[in-house]
Amino acid sequence: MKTCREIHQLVVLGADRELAWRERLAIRLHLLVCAACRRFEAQMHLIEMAWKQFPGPQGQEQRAGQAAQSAATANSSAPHGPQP
Amino acid sequence: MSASPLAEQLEALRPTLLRFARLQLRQAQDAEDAVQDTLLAALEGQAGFSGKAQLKTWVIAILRNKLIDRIRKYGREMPLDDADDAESFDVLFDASGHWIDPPRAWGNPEATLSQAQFYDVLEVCVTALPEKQARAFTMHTVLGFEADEICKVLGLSASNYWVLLYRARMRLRECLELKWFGQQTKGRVCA
Repeated sequence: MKTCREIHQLVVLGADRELAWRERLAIRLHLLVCAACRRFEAQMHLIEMAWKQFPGPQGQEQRAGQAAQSAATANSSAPHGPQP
Repeated sequence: MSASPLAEQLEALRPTLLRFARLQLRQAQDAEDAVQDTLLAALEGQAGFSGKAQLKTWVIAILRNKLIDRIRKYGREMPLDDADDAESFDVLFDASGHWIDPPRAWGNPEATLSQAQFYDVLEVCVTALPEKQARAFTMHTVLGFEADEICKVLGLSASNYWVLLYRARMRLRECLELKWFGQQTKGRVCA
């Protein structure tokens, strides 16, 4: 049985490349008995989903619109993010 | 020349596009150029917009292509902060390989993903990554580049590349835990 340390590495790797069936099996068996790694896997999944949806939900458009309006007079100022 | 309704709608999307572009092009001017190109292309190509697709989705698809083109053209010349990231995540585990501080439940994913502010935090977190990590990660996740092209543009070995992606994900997790989920759970200790 693999340790949590080994499983977390496989879980992260699995987000970016196809895992071997052995690796997938090892993850599954481990997750059956380990709540901590199940939560870790759910966290990684959420991060993955979030990037698929970036820069955000539909409502964002109105928000961006408002930001654009308020920034219209001074549109050189960045509404978000640190500036170099 | 008066602004068309489409031009106004596009203008309203500018901040969203900029934050998207800045993930890849940290030089503010490059990001703004890419967005400007995108808005022009959208105006010129508005016949291609069926109206069925959401305007934002359509424009982001254009921007995505602009960013991919720019990276293919100039990627290797783009200045890159090469600071080494020596952070080890081994400290998360004890000698027997168990979590020292087990991951906590992050709650309902749909609820999280439907909150616009969550994406602000996500952006802050990715911007806080060492630059090479952030570039490799967003090229892969957001722009859909293949591994070998990312390695070429960023000058990475294959093993280097996997380490960068691993670290990026682990750091994002830490950052979200700290800046988003930490606050979220404070109020409901007894839930």
